Amino acid sequence: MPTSAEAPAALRVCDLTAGYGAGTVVKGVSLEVRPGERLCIIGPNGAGKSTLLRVLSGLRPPVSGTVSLLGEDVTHAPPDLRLRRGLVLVPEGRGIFYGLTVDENLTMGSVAFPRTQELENRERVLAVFPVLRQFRNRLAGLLSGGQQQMLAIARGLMAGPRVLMLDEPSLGLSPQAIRELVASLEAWCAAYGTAVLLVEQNSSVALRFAQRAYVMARGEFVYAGDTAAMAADGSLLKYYLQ
Amino acid sequence: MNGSRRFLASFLPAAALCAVVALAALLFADAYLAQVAFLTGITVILVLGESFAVGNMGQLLMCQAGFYGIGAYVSALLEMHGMPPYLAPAVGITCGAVSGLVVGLAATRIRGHYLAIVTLAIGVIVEELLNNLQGITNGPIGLVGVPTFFGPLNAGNQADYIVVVWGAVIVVLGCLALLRESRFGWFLRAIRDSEAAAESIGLRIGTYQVATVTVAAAVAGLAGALYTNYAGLLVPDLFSYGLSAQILATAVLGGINSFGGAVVSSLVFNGVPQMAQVTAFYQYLIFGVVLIVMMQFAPRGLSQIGVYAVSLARRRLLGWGAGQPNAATVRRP
Amino acid sequence: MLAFLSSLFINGLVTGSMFMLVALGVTLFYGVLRIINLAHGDVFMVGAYMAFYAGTYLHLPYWAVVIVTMMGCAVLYPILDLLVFRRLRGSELGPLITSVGLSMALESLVQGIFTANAQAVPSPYLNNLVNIGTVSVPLQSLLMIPLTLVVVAALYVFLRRTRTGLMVRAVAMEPRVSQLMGVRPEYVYGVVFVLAGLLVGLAAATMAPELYVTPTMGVELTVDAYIVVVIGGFGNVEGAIVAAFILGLINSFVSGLGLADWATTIALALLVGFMMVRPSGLVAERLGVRQ
Ligand SMILES: Nc1ncnc2c1ncn2[C@@H]1O[C@H](COP(=O)(O)OP(=O)(O)OP(=O)(O)O)[C@@H](O)[C@H]1O
Ligand SMILES: [Mg+2]
Repeated sequence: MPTSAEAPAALRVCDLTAGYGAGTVVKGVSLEVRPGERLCIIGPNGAGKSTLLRVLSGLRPPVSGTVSLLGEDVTHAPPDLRLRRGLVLVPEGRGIFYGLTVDENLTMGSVAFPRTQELENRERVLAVFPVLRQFRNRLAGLLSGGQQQMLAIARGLMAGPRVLMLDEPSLGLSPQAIRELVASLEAWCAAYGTAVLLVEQNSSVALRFAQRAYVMARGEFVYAGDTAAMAADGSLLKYYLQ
Repeated sequence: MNGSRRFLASFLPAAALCAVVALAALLFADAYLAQVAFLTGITVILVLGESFAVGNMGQLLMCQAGFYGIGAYVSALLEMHGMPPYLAPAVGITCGAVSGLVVGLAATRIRGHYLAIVTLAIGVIVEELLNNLQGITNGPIGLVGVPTFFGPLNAGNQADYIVVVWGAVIVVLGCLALLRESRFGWFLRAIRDSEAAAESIGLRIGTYQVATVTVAAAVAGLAGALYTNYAGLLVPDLFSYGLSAQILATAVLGGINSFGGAVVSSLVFNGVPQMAQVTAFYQYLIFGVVLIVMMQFAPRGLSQIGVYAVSLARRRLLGWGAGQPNAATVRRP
Repeated sequence: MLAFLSSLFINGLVTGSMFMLVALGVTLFYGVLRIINLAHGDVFMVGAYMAFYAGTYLHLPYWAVVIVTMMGCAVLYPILDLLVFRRLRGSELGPLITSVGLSMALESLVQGIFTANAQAVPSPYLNNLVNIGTVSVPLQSLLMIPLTLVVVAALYVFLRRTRTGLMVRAVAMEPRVSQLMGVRPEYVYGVVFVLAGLLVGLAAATMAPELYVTPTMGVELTVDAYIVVVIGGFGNVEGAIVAAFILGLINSFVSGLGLADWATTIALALLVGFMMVRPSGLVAERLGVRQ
């Protein structure tokens, strides 16, 4: 059995640069997510966090740099291929289908996979997010904000990801709802060993959830380290998040 | 460049081209070519109105033929009841403007796809009304014996007709170029490029849209009045949706908002085929195919190709000035 | 009097069925691709000529004519998409303008092949009169109603109960997010073009025997389809179904009052009125068109 040091990184990003038209928004970012690891990126508005995730998911092409997933180069792969290889993005602002029911939203999460996988994953996902079970036939647009965010994550999990990327899942949620969400997510990760790349403004939530953290500002990583150390040194965080 | 320099830059080349065409027609045209020259002039006027509206407003108008028809029918009817022909252009412009105002007001809040569909519907309504209001328009049989400016076109008066219509082309060009380079045109393009930004600096989008539709309609009404006083005969079929489509196509092929492009494209896609006596069938086929191909590879039309050719020539021949097409003047619709 | 009214009613249902088959394609195009396709009626026209060719020159039995026409349109449309629309994805008015060119090109091509003369499509059911109470209607017309019902039911099942149908609805609502779920938008667009082709092909094959087939017949139908789509709400499938029958009945009853010439004007006035007052159409939006 290979040790984790020999196993390829779940996700490895090397010197990635990306932007919109003439403006470069992500400037030479490198990072590595190990299998089963929980990583977070925190940073102020406009740092380029969402842009980075969009590039990683294949929605936007990078200008330069490479992305590899479980040892395989996916720098220029289309979104559906990355998804099938296990890289899933839950986008900023949830992006659930308001006009579809909860069940249909979940189905969409695994629509790129065989139907057997859909049935299996639905059971697993509903076990972690039991609240959704009672709203299965309700239109997603009629759920509360917290339930919608759960649905967005549940839909992402329907693809059975190896690496789950979450873009500001705590946005607009009450502390209570955030706690529930984190608990569900931790239960899932414990059960299936999914690696998580969490992007957050809410640094206290992120630092509690993740094991390692990157601080991003103006398109670059300005700090990286263990979350325990960062949480202990509050001034550091304050300095970088200004 | 300041406003008046920009005005001259957009007016002079196109006007010079028109003058050359008119001169060539005066010098060399036989009776048939004179007819072609006249009709091409009408087309140029219609296309200029469309190109101005679409280019500056960023919205499609699909009822130029309707405004054209209203200008033509009203001036014809008034003349048949005794109005002297020389008043017709004023009548045509007025009728066009009024109908444009009505349409514009009805569609104040409608944009994009929806405006295209509404104006298409209005164009077809006009055609239907021309057919159905038999007591006034004489229905599908049409109006016969409408007075004309100089009688039937012949060797004796062809010069008069050519001077009138191409003179009108140059006047329209001048007016539209003035409008385009005025504050009005400036605001229009601000709205076109960002409705939200324009609204935030207090521009009333609806008002500007109404004004632009009115201008385009007035221009088409003028074309209608001129046509009436040349043809002496009007039938509803002349003002069908097909014509609106052709006008839009010609404007797009020339390059939206490029006056020179509008003139060239009217000459190339309407004048030349008629000169060569290409049947309407082939003309339509060429239109369709060229429009599709152009939209795939050069959606800014002839003007884009022209700009590209010039920059290529500069680069190849002189090795300098290889610039990008000017995004401010040529813009994808 | 009752016989007269019921014949108008049946007539309206038949016309409404045709409008519906044509308008569904248009509304799907808008709902999923956000494009206005003014060449849709011309594809109907090409379908009608396919039916004409299959029936008159290939001497196929009528049921085969229907199938050939549907298949023909279902193949033709994705090809047209590839040639004409694909490069213009995401442009708002570009596809609309190209569709004007496509409409011109199709009309003149067909005229080049078949001349501008009106042609008749043979059908065994044309002279078969059916008596419903006191009204007698050609079987050809009546055929339209059950066929349409079957097709609508099939479309409904497809959109609501299959994974591909789910993808179509999802792409209509959130094209970017759907991509994150591994949906390839081009696949869904292809499905929509095939669907629109099947629907318009069925309309062409069943209505062509009752109409004279000419190269310019498509324009009017395009306009009718857009009237339906405006009244039903752009991109709204249920709305289009309801609106098609409303328009069919209006057409029929207006003609019944001896005002056949005014039917189009009235319908168009309705379109303009709807656009001014209620641009979202009669029925609440379903396929997820964002204003
Ligand atoms: N579609 C776009 N087109 C052009 N520029 C964009 C686009 N999206 C984002 N930007 C710009 O890119 C920069 C980074 O944006 P991004 O959304 O990646 O930031 P972020 O770190 O996610 O911020 P936030 O925490 O507010 O979500 C910003 O300056 C933004 O204006
Ligand atoms: Mg963000």
